[in-house]
Amino acid sequence: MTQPRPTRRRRATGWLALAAGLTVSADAWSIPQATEGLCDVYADTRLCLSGPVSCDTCHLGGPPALNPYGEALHGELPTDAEKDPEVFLSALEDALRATEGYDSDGDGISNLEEIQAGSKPGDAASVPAPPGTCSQEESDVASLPEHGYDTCRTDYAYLLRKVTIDFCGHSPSRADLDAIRTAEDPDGLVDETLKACLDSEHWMGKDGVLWNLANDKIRPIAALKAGDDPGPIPLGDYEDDYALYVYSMIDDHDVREQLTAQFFVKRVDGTQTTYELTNGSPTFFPLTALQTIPREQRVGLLSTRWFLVFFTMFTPIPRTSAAQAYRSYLGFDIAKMEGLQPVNGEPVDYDLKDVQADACAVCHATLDPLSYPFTRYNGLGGGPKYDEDRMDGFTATEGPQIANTPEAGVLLGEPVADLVDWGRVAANSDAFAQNVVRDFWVHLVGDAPTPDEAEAFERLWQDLQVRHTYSVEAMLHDLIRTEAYSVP
Amino acid sequence: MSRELFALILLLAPVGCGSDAEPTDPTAPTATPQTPTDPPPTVVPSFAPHVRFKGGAVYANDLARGLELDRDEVCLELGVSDCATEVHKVALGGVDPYDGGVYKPLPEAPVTAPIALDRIAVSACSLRAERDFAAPSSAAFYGALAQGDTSTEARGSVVMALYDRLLLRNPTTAELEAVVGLYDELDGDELPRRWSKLACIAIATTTEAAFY
Repeated sequence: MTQPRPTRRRRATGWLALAAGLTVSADAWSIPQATEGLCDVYADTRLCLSGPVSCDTCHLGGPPALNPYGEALHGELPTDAEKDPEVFLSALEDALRATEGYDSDGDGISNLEEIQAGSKPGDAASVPAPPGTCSQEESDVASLPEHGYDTCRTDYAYLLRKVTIDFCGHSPSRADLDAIRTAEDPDGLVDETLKACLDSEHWMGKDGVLWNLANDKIRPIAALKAGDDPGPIPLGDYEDDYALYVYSMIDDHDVREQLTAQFFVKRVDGTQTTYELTNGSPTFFPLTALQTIPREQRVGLLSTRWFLVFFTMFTPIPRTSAAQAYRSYLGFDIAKMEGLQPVNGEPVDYDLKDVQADACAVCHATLDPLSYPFTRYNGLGGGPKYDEDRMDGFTATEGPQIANTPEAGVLLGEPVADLVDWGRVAANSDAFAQNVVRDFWVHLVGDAPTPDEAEAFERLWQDLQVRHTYSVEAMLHDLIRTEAYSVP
Repeated sequence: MSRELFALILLLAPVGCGSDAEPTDPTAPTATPQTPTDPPPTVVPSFAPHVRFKGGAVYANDLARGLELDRDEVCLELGVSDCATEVHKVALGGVDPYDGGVYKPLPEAPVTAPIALDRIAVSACSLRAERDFAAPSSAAFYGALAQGDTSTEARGSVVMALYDRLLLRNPTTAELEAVVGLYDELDGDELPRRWSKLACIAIATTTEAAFY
């Protein structure tokens, strides 16, 4: 099929636009609404299946430089669009429609086809995956016993081997592989194996698979550890955080407890590691390991001693804490301009950090209202505690206006009264379910879902929310049956 | 990974061999198969290969199970620290969150990864051979060779057993002949012992043994 290409005149205009794009200031082309605006128009396409697109859909890596697709859009937008987000958004759909027939990146596939298939229309290296179907002849050859794995459909020996390695930490025996090849119910055998391996130390023990999935969320530092094996400056025991994280993903527990739990979890070592729920602090001595937040103010992993002393520290408005929570549990890295949902009237700049400057406000209009619910939780300097008057303690150093910082904020466009509300809204969001499934998909498949795998990914996180009532173990029984995992 | 490499791995992947052994427990070996299994002339490559490195811990676990060694003795640096889960942990796809701030496996295997992998295989294979040659009557793999039988048949049985336990499949005819024939290319002292180690190392360091 012949792909429509920009005309010579349009290409010339595009190059001029690119040159202009390279010379404008970063803030002028930092239009965070664009990532959502594009997906408002293309909501049902694979490109937008996991939420707003990334900046590099239109930019060369990141703003301000435009890639060929951004360049084409720029050529269709009114000249004042780059200065005024409202003008930009109102003209965006027409510009998108006007460029649908182009092949901006010259890879032989039109922009619209790429968007529908989930590849990037401004990156020639990003193209829709070829359809993974076998011909009848290939299917016949692949199913021969001497072929090894059957590459045309789910191969149960392959699946059993992957499940045993991934969840139990070792390969199956030859006898196991031979048995499943002749089993009447290979599906049942795989299920039994997965069920057994989900209780293995490799999977749920200390330093096991689940534990290590939390490393980047908890960010432990041995030198600051309290409790067992303390470091030289014991400030908190992050093993409480790991225990809650693992607990939320075993035995059909509700994974949302990561952000809603008002209890703690104690790890009990033994031949088989177990995790016990406790309403009080898992440890009472030394005091540096004591969990001190009252039950009604607890917000799962967002109010543990470690989270508060390590991420909030002495900060009046703990933007680092909010950004870490947003990144870890909802998958939005504000530093990469992900998940920007600016709030009208923000940022107010209660701590006089000049966040209203154009280059700063791009992110802080989202980040600051995201952070306000964290302001009543103290970290260092007085120890972890909930204090509704906490901001009064900063007037001497930050000025009297700091006391006006509200506890209420906005998360994902929804007002939240406090951090408990923040945790509830976050845990019930699509972004949270997507992030949970994405963590396991990346771990078990090896890469983030490709455009061809987007449909299976979407089904998994939607089922996690409803059919599996937020049970990770139930979700995993489905994940291992996806084509990405079970077909060699 | 290229389609060609994945095709190679598929070619070498476990095939149904119809072993006569009765599966008992998950760690029990099957009876050693006696004939190689050759692949079909054509192979259908995967359309979306997701071939992955086992990682140091799983690799060492597999060597321990395959060679009938205790996991703790597979490979110890200076006789003290585990190669896979301590000394070479990060190089082999592990993490070091508490002291090193390595929260996720490295995105690319470092240049030391294959060296570390070889280190583990050499240690485990050497230990298995030394143990078998020290007590031939209770040997797991090399009893016949340790008792002086270096015939092609004896070596062939060893290769069949190593493929069965380490790669979970039969060798092809070409593979069988290559490893058996390695003996004839060696010279020097203690050929049976050295061949036993080298045959094991050759099989345990294949792409197929390290990836899944």
